[in-house]
Amino acid sequence: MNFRKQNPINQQKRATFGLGLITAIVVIPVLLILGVVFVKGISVIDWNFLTTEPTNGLREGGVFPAIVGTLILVVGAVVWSVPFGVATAIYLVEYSPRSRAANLVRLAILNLAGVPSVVYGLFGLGVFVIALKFGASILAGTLTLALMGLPVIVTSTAEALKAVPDRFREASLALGASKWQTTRHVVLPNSIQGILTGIILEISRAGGETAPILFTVAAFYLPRLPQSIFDQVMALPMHLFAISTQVPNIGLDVRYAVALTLLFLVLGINAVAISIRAKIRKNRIW
Amino acid sequence: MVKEIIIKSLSVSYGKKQAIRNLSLSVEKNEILGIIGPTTSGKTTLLTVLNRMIDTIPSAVISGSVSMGDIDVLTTPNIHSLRRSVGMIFALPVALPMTIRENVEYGPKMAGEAKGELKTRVEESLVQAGLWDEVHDRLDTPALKLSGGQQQRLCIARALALKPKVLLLDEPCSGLDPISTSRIEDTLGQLKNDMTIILVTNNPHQAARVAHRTAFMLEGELVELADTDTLFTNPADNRTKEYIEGKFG
Amino acid sequence: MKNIKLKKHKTETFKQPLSEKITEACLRFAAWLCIFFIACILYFLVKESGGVFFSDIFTITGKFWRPISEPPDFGVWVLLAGSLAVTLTASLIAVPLGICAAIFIGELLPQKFREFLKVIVEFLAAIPSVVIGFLGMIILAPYIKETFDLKTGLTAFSAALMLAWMAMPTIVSLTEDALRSVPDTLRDGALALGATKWQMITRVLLPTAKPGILAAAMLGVGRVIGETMAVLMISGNSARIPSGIMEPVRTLTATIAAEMGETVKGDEHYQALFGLGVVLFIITLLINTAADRFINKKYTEES
Repeated sequence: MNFRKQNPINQQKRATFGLGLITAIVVIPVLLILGVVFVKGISVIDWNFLTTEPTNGLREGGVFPAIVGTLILVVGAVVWSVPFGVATAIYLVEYSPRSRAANLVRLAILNLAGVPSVVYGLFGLGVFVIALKFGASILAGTLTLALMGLPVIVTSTAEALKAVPDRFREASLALGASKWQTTRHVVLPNSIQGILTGIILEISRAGGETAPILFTVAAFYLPRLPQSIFDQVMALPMHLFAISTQVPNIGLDVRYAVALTLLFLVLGINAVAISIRAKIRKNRIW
Repeated sequence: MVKEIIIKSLSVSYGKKQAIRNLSLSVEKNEILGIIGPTTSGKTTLLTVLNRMIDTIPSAVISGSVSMGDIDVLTTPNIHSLRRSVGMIFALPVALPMTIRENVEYGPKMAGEAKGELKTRVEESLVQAGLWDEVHDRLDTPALKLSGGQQQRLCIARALALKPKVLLLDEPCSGLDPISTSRIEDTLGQLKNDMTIILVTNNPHQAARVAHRTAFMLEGELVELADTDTLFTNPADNRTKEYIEGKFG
Repeated sequence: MKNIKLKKHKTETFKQPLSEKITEACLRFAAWLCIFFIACILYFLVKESGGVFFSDIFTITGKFWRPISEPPDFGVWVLLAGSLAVTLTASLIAVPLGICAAIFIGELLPQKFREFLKVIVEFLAAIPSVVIGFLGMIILAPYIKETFDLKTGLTAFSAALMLAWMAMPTIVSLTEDALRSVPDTLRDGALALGATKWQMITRVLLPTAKPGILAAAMLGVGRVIGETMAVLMISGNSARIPSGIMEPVRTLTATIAAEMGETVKGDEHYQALFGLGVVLFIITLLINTAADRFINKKYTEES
């Protein structure tokens, strides 16, 4: 009937195809990366690899201390950052969403989020390692990672809190409950899963970072497990970096195996967070 | 007649908008006062002043005086205990995301009532609200699974659990079917013996059915306040007459 | 009759004075700590950089970064040029691709595939940069060396490629957010007038979401500038102003990471590296504040 009418529809079809192609270009490298690392590294991974120490200057043996180190660092980061982060988010959302102080805090969080990880490493080095004399230690490393993760916790907690509809708060206040009672009994129980998701995402990020731990805690070759928080530890990201750039003659498959271990850990934790988030959405009764 | 609430020259504005102008009225104890009027007449604002929920709107500026018994509503520091003695039912039922029992317990629990008291309080309130028969065997199931009419009665039970002196209802039946509506209206009739009730409604017929006296508000002003029969059959002000006849609204 | 302007905090905290006040004070303390932390970071960076900004050896426009020469040269410009080369190239790739993917995933894809793709994009974001750097060294660099017949595959371009994909998840998800926040009434209005979906997207959605998309692009760029490990491992390590992107460069971030271990607290090199930290901090501060303005601008225009 009308040639003009056909054109927009064809245009849409072509646009959809083109954009779909571009999306594939964006997305396929992920699958490639996962595939390649898996295929080339899986042969080295066995129980031995995961539970013994490295020997011969990192060339042989396993990655056990690095795994333990990564887990310790991640737990420590959460311990330092979650209380402050959740409290800050509660303050921003429930207590003074519109004040000038709140805007300053929000701006501060935004900028903390944008600071490059290496600058955090620098800060950690200057303050925790040197000025406060903690030395290169678990303490310094976890504090640095916690600082880096603080904005993530604040932002995701704030979002989880905001997802609770205002009408519940109103109903609670109209019944004579105080602000804190409302927060504690109505808002928090219904946002706890969202908060948890944010924490888990922070964990996965902290586990994969290298620059902040480079000078604050990570040891190049430390086959034994740490005895105190003032000890250094090995960590998977640092380990991968070291065997890729500092130590020659390590088998390529060993390096892939370390990368694979790190990927498993990080993406595994991420997958947990994603599935919790999906469950929240499905089970939401309001 | 004992006056429960005395409002003198109340004015409320939000920024540039004037929501209530120089309003004065008194509410008598144990009466059901209906308030009718079109949407922007300030009815809801009036209710939020009475239980200080207007505090949640930072841009509100209030002048005048409101007294309830010996409490000066506008300046009292004890707003939490004020809100417990002035219950509020919103237009859309807002059951809290918890079990039925926890919903009704919520007010008294936050007020620090003893645990032993709570169980009887829950039953009493649900009976008073006319919901006990329907939910007594599933008190520990989520409240949000109830129907709209049931949720609204739950909200009433929730407010009653605090044994309020005054009950404010803001268009409580606007989203409900006729059966739920009449059940709630019956409940109000029984409740008035224990408390004073202010019922804001968009539906003049509801006021005609339920209220002893009715007030007509327009654009923030109190136009007329009279016995319900008088207001509806022989209104003193022309604007009242036109609203009731449906000429605007 | 008095005029009573009700102040929230004055009345609300009166009833349970002690426990409510304490709780609110604790929460406020935590929030102020965040402001304190960021101020701390800036303060410390500046302090540790010593007077290096006022010395002759540390210059913003200097073309040479030679920490071990006598006297040492700390020319920031050469590193800045490296960072810029990598960042601009990466952004030119990441921003268009990211926006297109966001449009596709958010608007054109059927619902059931949407979740799956969003998860994949999230995974991309979660891959540690050291893993990407590792793969870049092992696979990408040799490939580029061969394809373009270069002396080495460790170039600004190789780094830009890796960084582009690392920045894409940020750009994709923020663009998606920007598109999603366009009110349904605008969308439905366009469609009701007979527009096709694609027409609605190009004529209504994109123009309306422009500030948000711009902010997404800026934050993606910010991510690229701040990236350290992948860059360290693939951009080569030549502190020279490149004449093209197919050459090795040194970025601000890689320099800090590479040389920090070799310095002694307080000496010039140490201070110079902290000076670089200050420069980086300021750059990302500017980008983030600008992006935030754009996001806020969008919200105020809507209301």
